[in-house]
Amino acid sequence: MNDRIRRTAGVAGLAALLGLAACDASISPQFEVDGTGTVEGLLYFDADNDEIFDPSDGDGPVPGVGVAVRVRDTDAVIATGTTDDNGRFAISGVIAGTHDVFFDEASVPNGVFVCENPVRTTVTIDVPSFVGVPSRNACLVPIVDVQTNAAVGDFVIVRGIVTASPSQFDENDAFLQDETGGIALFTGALNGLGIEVGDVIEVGGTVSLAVQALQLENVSLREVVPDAGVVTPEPTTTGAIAATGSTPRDPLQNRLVVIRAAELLSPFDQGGDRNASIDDGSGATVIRVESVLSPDSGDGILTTTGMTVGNCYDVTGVVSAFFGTAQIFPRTVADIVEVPCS
Amino acid sequence: MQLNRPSSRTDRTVMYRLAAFVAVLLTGFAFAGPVSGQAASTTGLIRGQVLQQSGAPAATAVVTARNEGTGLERTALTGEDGRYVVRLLPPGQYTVTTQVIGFANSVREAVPVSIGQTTTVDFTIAVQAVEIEGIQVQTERSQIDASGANVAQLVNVEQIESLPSLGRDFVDFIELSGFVTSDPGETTGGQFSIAGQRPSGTNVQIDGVDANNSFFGENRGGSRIPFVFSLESINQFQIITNGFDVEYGSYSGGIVNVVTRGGTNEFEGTVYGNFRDDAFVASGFEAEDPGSFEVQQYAARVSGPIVRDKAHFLFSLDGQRRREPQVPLSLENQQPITEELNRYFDILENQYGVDNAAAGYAPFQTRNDVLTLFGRIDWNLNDDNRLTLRHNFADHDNGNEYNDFFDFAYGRSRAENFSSLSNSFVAELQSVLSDNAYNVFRFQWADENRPRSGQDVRPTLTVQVPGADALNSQDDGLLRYGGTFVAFQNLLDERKFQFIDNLTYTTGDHTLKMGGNALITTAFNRFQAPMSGFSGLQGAGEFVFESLDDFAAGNPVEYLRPFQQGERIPGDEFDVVEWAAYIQDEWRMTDKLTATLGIRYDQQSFSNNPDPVAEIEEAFGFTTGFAPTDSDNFSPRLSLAYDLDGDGRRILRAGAGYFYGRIPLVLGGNVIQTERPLVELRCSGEAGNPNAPPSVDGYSEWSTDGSDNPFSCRGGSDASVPTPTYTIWSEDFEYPETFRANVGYETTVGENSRLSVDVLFSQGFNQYNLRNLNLRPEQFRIQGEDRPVFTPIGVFSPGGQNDVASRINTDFANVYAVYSDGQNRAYLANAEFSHNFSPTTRITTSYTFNRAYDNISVSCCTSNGLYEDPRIGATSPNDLGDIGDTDKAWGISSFSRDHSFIVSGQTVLPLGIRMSGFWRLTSGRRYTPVVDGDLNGDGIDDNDLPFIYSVENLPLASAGTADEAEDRAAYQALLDENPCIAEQTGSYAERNSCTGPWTNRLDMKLSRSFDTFGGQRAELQLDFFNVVNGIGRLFCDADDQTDDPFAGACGWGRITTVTGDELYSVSSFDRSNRSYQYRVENDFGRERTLGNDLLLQFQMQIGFRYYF
Repeated sequence: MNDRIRRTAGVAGLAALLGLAACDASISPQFEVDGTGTVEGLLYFDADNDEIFDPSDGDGPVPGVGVAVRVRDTDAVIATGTTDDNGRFAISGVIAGTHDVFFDEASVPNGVFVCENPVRTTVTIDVPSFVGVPSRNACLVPIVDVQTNAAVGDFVIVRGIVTASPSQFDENDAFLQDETGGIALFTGALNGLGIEVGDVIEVGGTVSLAVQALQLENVSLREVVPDAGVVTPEPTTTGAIAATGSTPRDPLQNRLVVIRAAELLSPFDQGGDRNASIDDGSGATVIRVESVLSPDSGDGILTTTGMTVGNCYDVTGVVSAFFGTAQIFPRTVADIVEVPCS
Repeated sequence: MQLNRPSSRTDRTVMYRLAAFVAVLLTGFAFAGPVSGQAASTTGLIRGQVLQQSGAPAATAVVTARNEGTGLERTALTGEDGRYVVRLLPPGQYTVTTQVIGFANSVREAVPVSIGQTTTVDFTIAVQAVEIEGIQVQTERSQIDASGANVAQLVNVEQIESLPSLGRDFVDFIELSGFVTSDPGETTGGQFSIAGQRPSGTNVQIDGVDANNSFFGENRGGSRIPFVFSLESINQFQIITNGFDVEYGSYSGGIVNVVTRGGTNEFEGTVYGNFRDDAFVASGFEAEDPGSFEVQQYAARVSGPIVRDKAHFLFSLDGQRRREPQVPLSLENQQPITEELNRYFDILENQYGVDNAAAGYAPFQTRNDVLTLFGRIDWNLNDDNRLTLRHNFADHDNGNEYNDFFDFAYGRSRAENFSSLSNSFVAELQSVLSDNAYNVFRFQWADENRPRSGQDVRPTLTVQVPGADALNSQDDGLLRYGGTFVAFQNLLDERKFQFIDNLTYTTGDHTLKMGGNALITTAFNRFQAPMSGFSGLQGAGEFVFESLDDFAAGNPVEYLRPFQQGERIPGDEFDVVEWAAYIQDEWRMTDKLTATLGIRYDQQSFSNNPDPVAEIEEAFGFTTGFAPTDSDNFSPRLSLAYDLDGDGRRILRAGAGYFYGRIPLVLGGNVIQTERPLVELRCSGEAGNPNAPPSVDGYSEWSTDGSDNPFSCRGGSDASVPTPTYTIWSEDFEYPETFRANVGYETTVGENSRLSVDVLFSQGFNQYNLRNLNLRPEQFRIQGEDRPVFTPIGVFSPGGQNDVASRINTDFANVYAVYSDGQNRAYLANAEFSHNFSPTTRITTSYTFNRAYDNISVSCCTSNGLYEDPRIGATSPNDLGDIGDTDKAWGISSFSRDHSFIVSGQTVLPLGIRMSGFWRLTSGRRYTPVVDGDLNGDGIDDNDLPFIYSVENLPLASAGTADEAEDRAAYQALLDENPCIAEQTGSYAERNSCTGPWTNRLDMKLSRSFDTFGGQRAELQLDFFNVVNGIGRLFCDADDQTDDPFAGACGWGRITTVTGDELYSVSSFDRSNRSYQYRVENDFGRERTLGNDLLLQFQMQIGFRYYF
């Protein structure tokens, strides 16, 4: 007890002597939420990834999964239940408030994932809250996880900004990039859908290493947000690109990059007369021009792009690989800008 | 919804209250003695005893008191003991005469009567000799109020006229009382604390009726208006700290009781004017230019008889004209973008219908003008009835109010016009019903209208123009037009009807007083708060254009607008009814001891319940849809006065009682305003999308009052509703209540001096506060500090936003419930000595000790402010704790000022120059050490109390590095410089445990009168403000300031404050150990001078007055 408290206590004692202590109005008790509600819900397999439970689309219940209502953002359990044969559960006596509903992953069938776990729900007094939770055969992951962890044949879901659209490539390739990395999408499924550079898309697909390049095959489009993002090309060198040719999981693979003042060393006389060598001084790599950019191959490409052997260019493009050889793919003529050789 | 509190609590409270009161009553009797009187809020009384020369009392003597100015006469008969009381005497000077058959008439002249006070006049009469008509005696002034135990300080018309006044606001004179908490830099105009209590607990009454703005808990007119009542119309006023008369109510702090003046039998008048501009103002405390302004004030008063001795009139006016230039963004200061600016003006003019657009960005002037008119008629209807009618009118025009930081890029289009128009009509009928019965009836009608409007509250037009230089403003790269911050159709209107009746009846040794008071207040408030997020500060909405081309093409990229769900502007209108009934007995127990025992009952209620909010009831189980009625407010009071010698020269007094105060009605307004969620519309989609910005086509035709501003996006998309905030009443809410007790002694010293000493105690309960129902319970504790955190550790960040993670229900933002957890306790003492050296030279000195404690120091207004302001120790922001809980919120009150020394006086210098002055030296305001960050995860930054570590235990961010030793040394130095921190090592810092710098202010006035003709005279006046600062400048050497701006004479009179209240900032949070690492804020406790725009430095004012 410091002096101040002692003095206060002393005067309080005097006040008590005068009968004042009895006047202390009691403070109202601290508020606690008064009332409970019920959390009801459904766990289902969302076969068509539309987040709508519709058995006619192949969706079905996921029974026998343990459900816990937990204090939000903690592991503390308020109440528990289990999904029934219809995938449904009802947990009553839950104090009103916003809580987490957590599904016991150990009791979820193999190959099924509850991608959003826990889900959040707000319980109000005497009014049941309902949570419908889809499960899937894959969950949205950062692209870097695909690059580093996913095995060939895994089904994954990724989301990112389109850096090269299907219309810019001969074989319906598109490139997607998020904050963690880039990935190629090999599919005809996106062709004709109007997907453009700058759109944010979410896709599902199977991991493959076709032509020894990492990509997703059998891609299904889940969501498109038009013109919702911009990817700034990452500055790199021709030598760095070339070094990734035999390492398809290299972080530079499938990214949008830019190389500066790189000299065109040869005409487009390789790879079906669509490849040429280009070098910024760090070691040559391959520049490949697709037919949608230049219908004519060989020297026709020089005409289309205005390039001249021996001149230097800033080139923006996505990085890919073809049987161990790294390539940079400019997407349009605008990606090739002649500059003085340094 | 009916408000039912637990009966056991109510019963217990009443029982305790009575028990406590009896205890104090008995304690008081142990040392208190006789003599007492009865206060009244607009009149005073004369009492005394008439004795024969033999010492025998003279019964049935007729005692007549005649007002020397107005001829008003009141008479009384002496009783068997020769005692008499003449009541219902308006303040002034009286001639008192006794007439007893067979005895010579005895006369006392110039007997002063003040409001609410008793003047004692005793007579000894002689047997009448044939040739003697009467014995005339110049009264010996009894300077002591012998009327009871009230603690009140009186300011009379002489002081008002003679002392320096910077703004001619009568409430500025309240600083003559040390019980009033002075706060330099904040005008006393709106709110002021008395006796350590909340400012909203102060009750201002003029002529015995309410003169408050109830909505904000301030005096009528508020804080912006320079003055609302003509200084020329004031007769006297009192600052009543403990007023035990049951007539006094509705205050938990104090009362400022003003009585206006009336005319007399003499025709007289005066005109007055003063002038001040920047040439009369010294540079700022840090040599800043004071800025350009000029202000003139003027006044006039005329009074006289309508019918001599029968009816009198007084009319006065007071006015001010103030001009202050403003320089917004203009062609002159934006030369690099002249071309763009001209194009912007062209577009504004031709496509958006803004006439003469360029002129709106030229320099302009802010107005601050006021005119008050006052008229009063006193009419002695007959010998028994006196009618007073008076009306006060005030018109304040604060035009083009402008903030050069926020408004710079908008030009004059963003200046706002604030005005205040108030009327107050009062009628008072004083009636002598019989020899022993008197009645006073008062009626008031008052209206106060405060609209605040923008120049053009169509949506703001914001255009991004690279190169537009904000010049210390916030809007770099922007050109802007129109809209408003909070002036969107803003209006506060308050109307009052009040009836008061007091009946006094004397019988034997008892004087009974009974009466009632009914006050009906109708409040209307329309207020659109600006948006809280994204763009912010826009109350009228905003179109954003990314370029001048887009501006020209009418292609906004975004449209933002706040409003209330249902496409309306938040508003509320409600009635509040206050009524009181009271009775008291003034019992002259002996010749020397008078006891006044009374009881008062108050009830306050909102007549309109807010709508229920079903969402709150379903989410929290908390009842809504009601407003509080407080029906158990019984206030017993006892006042004792003991006249030690029976001559009114030495008085011992003691009193105790309960008092109920008001709450600012804005608390109820906050509830009604959130009956529906507030919405923030944001339209930012591309053309063709539902949420595309609405078209600006036709903007030029839209009404400038904002009524055409769009409520939806172009595609008709609904507003985006943010997480709503609500305010609701708690069922446990009760109105503020204060117990007060005081003992005092007052004596005359010789014939020309007076000394008084009073000791006061008060304890307040049920002071309003807010709790946040949506705050989660404690989630974990910080190691080493035992500090509770309300956000789960997995998502907690002391430097981040914890507002959502700390909520119980994320569908809501804060859900405020109005509670009454606030408590306070104050210990005060006052010693005052006054001495008249001569009729023209007198001095009054006082020392006041004012130490108040509380668990929340707030007064008014917004829910956010009331919730976030409290600093809480080791518990929840919802748990203020009880009296003495220093580990919670209990601490010294922000309204406490330990020491105040006040000297005022006047004298006459050679050459007939009259000099008066007022000096006040007050200890500093309290401040609370805090930590930068949200240490308890309640979603509120920078309001958590620091745990005070010892130097060696402070967990420093630099621990283990080369900087550690230096940082610990710096912390040690900080502890050495701030003992208020050092002495709390090992515990949480208490609220307001540190004290800012003292303030020292001396104002003086020199005046010289010149006789003109016909008894008329002229007077030249020179007022000097902050004289100490002015003297310091004479001796200040600029070289002294290079190291320390406060060195030597350079620092004299500088008014400073502490700006550094952050002791630590959090550097990092160790999640695994649940502990913080801190950085020490070396600026803690640093003093800074108060702002230049406050004009607190030395300055002068020249005035002229003419009396006729």
